[in-house]
Parts: sequence; structure tokens; C-alpha cells
Amino acid sequence: MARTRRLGIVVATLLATIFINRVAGAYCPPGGVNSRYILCTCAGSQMYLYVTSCQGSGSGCDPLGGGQVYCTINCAQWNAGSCTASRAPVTPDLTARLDDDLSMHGSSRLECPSAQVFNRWLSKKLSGHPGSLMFAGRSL
Amino acid sequence: MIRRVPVSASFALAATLICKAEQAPLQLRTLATSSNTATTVPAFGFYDFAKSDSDGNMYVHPSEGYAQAVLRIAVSSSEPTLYALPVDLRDKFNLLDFAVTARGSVWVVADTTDHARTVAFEFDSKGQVKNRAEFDLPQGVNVYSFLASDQGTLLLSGLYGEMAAENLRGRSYVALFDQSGTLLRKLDEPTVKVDLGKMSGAPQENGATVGDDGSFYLLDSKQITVLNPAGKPVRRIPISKPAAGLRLAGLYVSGGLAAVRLARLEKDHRVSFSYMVLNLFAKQPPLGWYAADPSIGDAAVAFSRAEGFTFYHVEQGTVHFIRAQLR
Repeated sequence: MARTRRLGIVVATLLATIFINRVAGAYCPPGGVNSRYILCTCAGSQMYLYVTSCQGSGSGCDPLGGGQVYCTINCAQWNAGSCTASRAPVTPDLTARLDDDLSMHGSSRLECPSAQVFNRWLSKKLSGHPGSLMFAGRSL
Repeated sequence: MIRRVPVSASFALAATLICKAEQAPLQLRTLATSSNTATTVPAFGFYDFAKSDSDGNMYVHPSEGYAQAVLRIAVSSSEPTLYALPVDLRDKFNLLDFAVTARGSVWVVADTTDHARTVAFEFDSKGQVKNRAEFDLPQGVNVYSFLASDQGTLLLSGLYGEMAAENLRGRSYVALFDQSGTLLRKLDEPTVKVDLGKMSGAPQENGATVGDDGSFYLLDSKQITVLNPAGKPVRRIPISKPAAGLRLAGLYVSGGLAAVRLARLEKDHRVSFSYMVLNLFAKQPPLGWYAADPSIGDAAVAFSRAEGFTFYHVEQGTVHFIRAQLR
């Protein structure tokens, strides 16, 4: 009985490890975990999310340009020895990954009608501002 | 046999019981709405937390529209002002944080995309860059907070990360600069030492704000450290969380009170916030632990002793500012 239970725990741990590695995509080398709070609004609702991304490059990593590697799960759970939380610079890679993350909550910035309304409003209000309006690193 | 207890011991016991009675767990109280100001601004999202000037105007790092800029929303007219780097600099820098002084001066601090340099830019009231400060930071410092004062000083705080010298890793870094980026004072005594190996993916516990008089208030996992305008530590106020599972996520200071933002990490990366209010000048238990009415949301954008909290609230697609006074 106890042996079966122990085996179950071992199998579950292995599966969890495989799952985590598949979800996270890659080993996260020393360099850090970036973190940001973000307030999301859509369709009259609002909520705060907390997102992390691994920072670094190296063997087994999945660089998304600029050395940013994103983890959709708590990075340090799987790489506790070498992750340092820090403030994430907002890069196009990070914002693209944020979109993926937010879509899990039905609050995609790109698809949300209220975001489009805001962008049109801001664009109109800032029409005299030099430079083109940039949305998450892309020109509108 | 009756054992006699010394009178002094009895007093000590009584004092302990009184202290324990005084330290009864704080109860979370729901704030009542005292005013609701509608704006014409369509709902939008932003990174981290909004900041405000002494007139109550809101400043945010928007996640819509410009991703590398600070947006000011005038509370009286709903008019936006954008503080964005010039086009030729936009691809060379990543915005880390921004600062707003009580009088409404706006600064942003940014890393070059190769992380080689950290630079702060000051904007004029029309949103054009008018000044820049280049910082000579030690190797491996991760910047968490950036403050600017109306007295002409800039304060950077952060942690020595994995890329720092081994004996420094996990130590805090706090330094005061002038508006050109010249180092004025480095805090020798670390405010906190963090075991990087035990840092989880949860947010780092920190926060910072500047008072009207140019004093700086730094929050770490254990305390608020008050620095005078010259950057010298003058007071430390220990913090006790009102409940388990909360993380310190920021603070406001007004009229001798501090409002500490408390984060609770929920499932699926969701976070909820509550706020603990402390008297900065009296050794007494916190004055209260508050949350907004759930129908309002929990996104405080400002706090003042006189008017309480101001919350960002989306109603019928537009932004409302909800005031909720302390009770």
C-alpha cells in the first residue's frame, strides 16, 4: 500500500517535471526572472495579473530575441537556484507573451474592443504628438 | 503550596497581556465610496501601479497605445499628455520605471537594450525630453524603484542580482543622484538581504515613494526605511503583515500616514490587493487594513490623509475615479 502510494508520488513528480518543462519550453539559465503586475481591462471588467518571464540565453533556451525567455508558469519552481526576480523591461517580446497569457483570462489586449476604443481615442487626442502611435512595439 | 509571584512579574504579565490584546489580528474592512468622478477616458490597462501628483492627476505606464511611454490623465479635464522617448531613442531603450514629483515633473528610467547603460530622461510639461541623467551603476544591479524629488534629486533602488559579485548578490542597492546622474550618496547599510536561491517567481517585496519635503520612503519585506532629502536613513518602521499569504507590493505616504499595498497571489496569475494604513510617527499598531468594495475593484491610484484612497474603476467602458475615505 505504502509502496504503491510512493510510486504514485514518484510518477506524479516525473509527469509534473515533464509537463513543466514542456510548458516552460526550456531551461532557464542564470540571468533572472522578470516580473510585472499588469492591470487588464476588457468589456467593463478589470483585474490585476502578475506575469513573469525568464531572462537569459544559453543551451536549451528558447530565445525570443533580446535574450528574453518567457515562462508561462512560476519559473523559480523549476529553477529555484538560478532565477532572480527583477523588473521586466517592456519589450515587444514581453508584450507579445503577455497577450498569450492574458488570452487565458479572456482579456486579450489585441482583441479586446475596449482596448481598440482607447487606442483610437488616444491616437486622436495625440494627433499632434511627434512620432507614430506605437502599440506594443508595432505601429498602428 | 501557594507560590507567591513577585509584584514586578505580575506587572510584566499584565503588560504582556495588554500588549497581546492590543496586537489582536487586524480585521479587513471594506471602504465605502465617498465620491465617483466620471471621465471621458475609455478603459485601458497599464503596467504595475499608477502614480499621482499633488493635484491628483494620474500617471501610468500604459499597456495599450505607446508601450514605452508614460501617460498622464488630467483628473479635471480627462485630457491625456504623453511622455515618450523620441523616435530615434525608442528602439535603443527599454523603459524600467517612471517617477512623478509632487509638482508633476515626469522622469522615466530605462536600460539600453543591451543592458549596458541605465539612463533617466526628464520631460517638460508638453512631453518632450528636456534633460537626461546617465547612471554609473555597479555591475549586476537590478533596478526596482526610481524616484524623483522636486528638490532636484533622483533615487534608484534595487538588488544586486546573479550577475553581481558573489559577496553582493541579494543585497539591496540604494543610491541618491543629482539630475545629471552624479552619485551624491550610496546607502552603505543594506536595507534587506535576500537569498536569491530562495526567491520564488513571486513578486519581489518592495515599494518606494517620495514625500512633499523630499524625504524618501523605501519599503522592503520587513520595514519602511525613511531617508531624509540628503539620502541619510533617519527612521525605520517595522511592518507586520495582517494575515498570512500577503506580499508587500508598494506604498503611499501622506500627512504622516503610510498606506502599504498588500498583494495576494491568486490562481492563474491573478492578484488582489488590500491596503494597510500606518502612522509613521507613532509606535502604535496599524490604524487599519482596508479593501475597496468588490464592485469597485482594487486598483488604488492615489492615497491622501484627507481624502483617503482613489481607485481606478471601469464603468460602462470609461474610467471613473472612486474616492473612499478612511473610517
